[in-house]
Amino acid sequence: MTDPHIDSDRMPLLAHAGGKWTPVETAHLAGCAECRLEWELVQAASALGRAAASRIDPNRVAARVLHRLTEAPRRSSGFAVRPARWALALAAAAAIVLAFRIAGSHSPVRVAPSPARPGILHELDELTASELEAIFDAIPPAAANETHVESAPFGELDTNDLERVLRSLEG
Amino acid sequence: MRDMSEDPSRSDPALVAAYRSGDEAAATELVTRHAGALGRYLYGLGAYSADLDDLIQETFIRAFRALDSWRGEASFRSWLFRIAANLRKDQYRKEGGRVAVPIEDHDLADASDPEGEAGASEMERRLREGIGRLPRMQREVFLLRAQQGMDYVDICAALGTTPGAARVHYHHAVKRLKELMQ
Repeated sequence: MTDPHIDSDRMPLLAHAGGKWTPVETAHLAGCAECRLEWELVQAASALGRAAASRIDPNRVAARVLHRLTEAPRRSSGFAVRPARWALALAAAAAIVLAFRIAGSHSPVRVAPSPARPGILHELDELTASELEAIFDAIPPAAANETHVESAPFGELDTNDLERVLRSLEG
Repeated sequence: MRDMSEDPSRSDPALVAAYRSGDEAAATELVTRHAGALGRYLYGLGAYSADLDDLIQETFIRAFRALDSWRGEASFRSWLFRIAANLRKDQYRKEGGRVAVPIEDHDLADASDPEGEAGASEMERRLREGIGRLPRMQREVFLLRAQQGMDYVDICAALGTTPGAARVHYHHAVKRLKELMQ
């Protein structure tokens, strides 16, 4: 076999566009097991999943997509990714950061109750993950004299301290 | 593959613009136009047949909610493929954690999928198994090129790579698959 192998990039084109081999290519294919294997591979790949996809009803999928978009435009009932749990954790973290900023206290465990912001955690729960991230981004870096995050990182708060902070935010 | 419609008013960008203006029929047309290709792609990436409906739905939900981030530089379909691949990656992690699970485990027919993987031809089964063993970029480039027939411009847009790198990934994928199928 002295003639060059068939250009690999031609195979997907022929498999999808329905072109024809040139006589030289046809002769090469007849005598080259390697190119024949590649051609079989590309043909099999071009047909891969047809049977599975044929069982999809695009109209039904479209109806469900539109239903979800119109019924709950801000909620994702994600099949593969369910952000609720980590969004809740994110909300709690956001609440703690906000607590430090709002309280302006010298001690993170002495945050004054803030009745003006009842149910803030519940409001945060309603937000999507991306919206929560946007909130985080919008929070400017805390000035050293405003918080004691640096001197008392979250890791140093015990469970009671954290619960107190959260309770203060929920009124 | 740049545009799925000959009528400019029904092109993907036109339908996206129509949907953003409140035309729900445009969204329906986009879904029906691309659902099948998305399903095949997700199947090639190792998704169960029984999960395809949900994965396709979620892909479109994410796409429609993030339309502002699609600027039309890539084809709408290649953008959908990118979302679908990320979704499948998330699902894969949820199924098997961060430790790679051989795709042949997914190919085992079970009661939840009596006519899906079980009905696949031997060639398809072996190909899918081989694709599952490829590194991610090789797998995705191979599927977009050989299964979907996309050109390298759209492949690059879908995967965020360069045409040269995509070609290299494709040729490595073919070489590896030929070895696995022999």
